[in-house]
Amino acid sequence: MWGEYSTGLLLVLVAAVIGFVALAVETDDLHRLLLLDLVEIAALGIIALLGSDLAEALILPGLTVGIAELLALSQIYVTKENLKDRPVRGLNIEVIQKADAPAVLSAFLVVYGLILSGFTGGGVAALGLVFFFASRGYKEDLEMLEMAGGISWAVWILAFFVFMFLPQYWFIALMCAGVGILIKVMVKLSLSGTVWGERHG
Amino acid sequence: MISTPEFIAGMILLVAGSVSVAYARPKNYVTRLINLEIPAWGLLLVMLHFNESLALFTFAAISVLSTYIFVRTIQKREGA
Amino acid sequence: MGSLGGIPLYVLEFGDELVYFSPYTITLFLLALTFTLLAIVSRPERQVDVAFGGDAYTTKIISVDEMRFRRFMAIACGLASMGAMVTGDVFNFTLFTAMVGITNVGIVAAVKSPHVQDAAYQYGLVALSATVPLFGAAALYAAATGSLSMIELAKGTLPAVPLVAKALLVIGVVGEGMAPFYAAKAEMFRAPGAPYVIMCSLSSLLIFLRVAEVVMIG
Repeated sequence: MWGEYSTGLLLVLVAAVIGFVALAVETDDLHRLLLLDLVEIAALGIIALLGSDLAEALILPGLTVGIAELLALSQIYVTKENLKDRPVRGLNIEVIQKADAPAVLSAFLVVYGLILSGFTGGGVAALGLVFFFASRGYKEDLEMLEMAGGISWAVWILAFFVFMFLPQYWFIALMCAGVGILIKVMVKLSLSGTVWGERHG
Repeated sequence: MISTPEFIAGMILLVAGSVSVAYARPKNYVTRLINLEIPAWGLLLVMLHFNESLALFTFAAISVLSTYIFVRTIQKREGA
Repeated sequence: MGSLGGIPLYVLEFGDELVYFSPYTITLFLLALTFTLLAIVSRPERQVDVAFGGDAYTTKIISVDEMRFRRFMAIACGLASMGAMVTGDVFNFTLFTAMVGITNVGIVAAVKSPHVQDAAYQYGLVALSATVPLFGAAALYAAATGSLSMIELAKGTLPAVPLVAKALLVIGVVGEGMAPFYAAKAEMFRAPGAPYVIMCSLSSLLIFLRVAEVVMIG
């Protein structure tokens, strides 16, 4: 009867409406935040149904916006409920804290991320670093990392300007963009793993 | 209308997952968080059907990060 | 094309995405620019404490250093609204609107009053759920017409944009900061820290003015 796109769009909109109805009925704030993630998935579904390369180009900023809002709102929630200084017991699992496995796994993930490079590589490498920090409970001085992240982000934007105005130098711009975004994403995501701080009980 | 199995499975998971998150029983934070994986899987299958591989990887990575953030917030709230 | 906002005077091309200046968008852009510059140069207003039962009052001068983060967020909000005013691409417009929502939350997030923080949280929830119709509208624009550029849409050679997509775009902007969802934003205003807090209301006003043009032209 209908094409694939129309049926898919109808189903995703049904999912979004279900999410919104539940959001309207809910009263607890943290439940609302979880339901917001659900409607965010529905929004990404509407974009993904386009099915072309344009859809990918639209999904990535949508994801970034979603995660930024989620970070901001969760931090406000913690501050609002006066939960900021509540100590959270870290993972007391011996095999993670004392054995070598987390170091090996993190090293593998970081190397894999470096090979992939780009946004995805940054995410994978950051996952490795976050896992390492979460298992060992590091408290690092992060200023240098932040500066590296900022500079690499500027390098990435510069690479895009080179793409647009000096296309004959595309290869070096590509390399700069890949490495820049890798470092930036890695720093940002691994920061989120350390800043929350843990006290091992 | 001929669709591959991924598309149909993805759509079913998306709708069923939304229902399961919206009406989570027992109604606590952890249940909702775990049930959030179901529509996420459905979305990943839909992206697989359209060959949007970059979006797929990025969504998986972001989903990991947002799960981590939620677990942190729930830990702070429930005090463990 | 261009009978609504005036004939476009200049179109700056960034590859596929266009930054497009017409008399209407230039006016809004200059307004946003002026307020951003005012946010940069002005000092935070003095907090007044009134002695209860009389007319005496004391003022406390707040240095710019204390308000640095909020000033930064206000400038970021101004930049986002400047970008939204002149963009020629529907998806860019939705991204800038979402950024305005986030920076609005950031402007009041550092205030210690629990009422303001609660209002900021509720506003953040509404702004985040408003990104759903925004992105959905951009996706429907792309699916129905194959193009996201406002200049292409205004030429009339592409299939018409369905009314649903335009309605979703307007709903998204309304959710970001217009009535009836304005209640949480109004409560956020009780935060101390003018003139930076004013940027919240100005940005949503400008975005609403621009979305009226986008919806009627495309």
